[in-house]
Amino acid sequence: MIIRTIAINTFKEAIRDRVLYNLLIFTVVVIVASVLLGRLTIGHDLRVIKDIGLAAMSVFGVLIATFVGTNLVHKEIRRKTIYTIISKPIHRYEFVLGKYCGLLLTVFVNLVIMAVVLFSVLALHGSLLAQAMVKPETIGYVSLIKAIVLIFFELMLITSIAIFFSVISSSVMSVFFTLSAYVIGHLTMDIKEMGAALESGALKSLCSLCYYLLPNLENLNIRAEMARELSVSMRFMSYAIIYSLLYMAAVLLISILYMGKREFV
Amino acid sequence: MKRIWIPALILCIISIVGFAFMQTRVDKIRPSRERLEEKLIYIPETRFLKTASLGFHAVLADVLWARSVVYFGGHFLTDKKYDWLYRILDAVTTLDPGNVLAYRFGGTVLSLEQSDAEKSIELLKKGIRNNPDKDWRLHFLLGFNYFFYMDDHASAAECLEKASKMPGHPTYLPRLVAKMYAKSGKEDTAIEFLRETYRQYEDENVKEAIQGRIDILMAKKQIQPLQNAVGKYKKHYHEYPKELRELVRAGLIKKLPEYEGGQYAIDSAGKVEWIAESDLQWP
Repeated sequence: MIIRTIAINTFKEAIRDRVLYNLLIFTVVVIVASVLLGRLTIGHDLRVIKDIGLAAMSVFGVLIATFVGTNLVHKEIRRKTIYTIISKPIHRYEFVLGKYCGLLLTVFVNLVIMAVVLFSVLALHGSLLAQAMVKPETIGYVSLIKAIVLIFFELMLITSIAIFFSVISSSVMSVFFTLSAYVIGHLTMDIKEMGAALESGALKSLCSLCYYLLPNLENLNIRAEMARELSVSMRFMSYAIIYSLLYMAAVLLISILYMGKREFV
Repeated sequence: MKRIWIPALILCIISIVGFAFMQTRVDKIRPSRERLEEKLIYIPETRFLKTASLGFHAVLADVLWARSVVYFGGHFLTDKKYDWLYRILDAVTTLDPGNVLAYRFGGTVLSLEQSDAEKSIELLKKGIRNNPDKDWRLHFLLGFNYFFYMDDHASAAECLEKASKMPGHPTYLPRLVAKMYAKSGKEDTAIEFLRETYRQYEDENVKEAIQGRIDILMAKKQIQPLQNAVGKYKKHYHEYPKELRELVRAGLIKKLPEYEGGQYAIDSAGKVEWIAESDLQWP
């Protein structure tokens, strides 16, 4: 109950902060991509729109999770509202989980609206191509939905990382750390492959350790498969989702443990 | 808080072990090397590359350069197919035209391992264009490609002459130039080229690839002495030997030369051949 109240409050606060304005930019990006890039890449109109749309969904989602998430705890401290909260019979874990759920709700609503815009533009563009007697490529709604579902889990993971850094460091540093985690998360496979090519056993082990401990966001990225029109198995989807849920749980638990120790004076 | 501390810690450890385990499951379905290669289709065309890198030319070049070495190593140890190698190296050298090592690496392995001398020459010419007078090895490798793959001794000699006028070149280069002009002993000259190239590398995979080629050339060099021994055998026994071991039994050679990567064979017309295990195009 307390978690729900904090979550709804966090969501309302994000809306009040005009976070959803980014949707306007997203809509413009997707429409411009559909009009301009579609024409430049003959025969791949829909694919280009899908690629840019998905990439934009991921980037905007991460930016929201980072800039809103990393500010959540600090804003309460700055406004001194944290003292009101901790003086009430609210557990620290309820506070962290409430904030997390609220932010996740914001990210989710954002993602749903972006998905609707993307689907609408694709459908419209597809019908325009059909009217112009050009046989359009298949949109591939199923794989598109799969990609969006995995983007949501990627954002879920990034949101938990943003909350974690928000709890342990300053506002500016949290933004830096979270965005770094996002970039590193997409390069983890390189760490593994480069480690495998090294001769030193110690360095190999270090690379392997980093590979398994750092977030691997490429598990949740199936855009390359979409571009090549390859199907993604449900088994892979479920493994990737379980991976992200476990990672998120670990990060949130560490955040809760740290929050429990933190003194607010 | 104290009440949840221990269960939270236990749960946290379980989650960490859990996601590391799930990563191994994901890797089984989608190995990271294949995944990295899938991402290569996203390398934009060379003319858009600098714009697409958003000013981070050097960083992107470094990432791609490291990836090309890993890509080569991975395929060298498995299927020996390097379909994307030129594309990655072209991207690396477009983003960072001063990366001489990338030109040298491509100039060596594209011709030796992928048997694509044209691409190797293209990359080396790009390297020389972008780095004139910076590294004699670029001219040296270009010369090797002209000499060995294109049979263009004049161009090869020209390249080596340029290399021999640059600082740091080995003392024997002028001798190689003379050999080019004299068009003498293709195998011997190629071995000299490759031995020098071998010395230039530290990467074990590249060294192994070069050594493999040296072995093949050494093996081919022995064909003529074996052929001569077969001629003597025929003169003495009035027939060709059914197998080359008969030359040893007849005392015409001390032992049959052995080299890795293939074996000698003799056909019914008495012609000695080296049958390589690799299906590479090798002149």
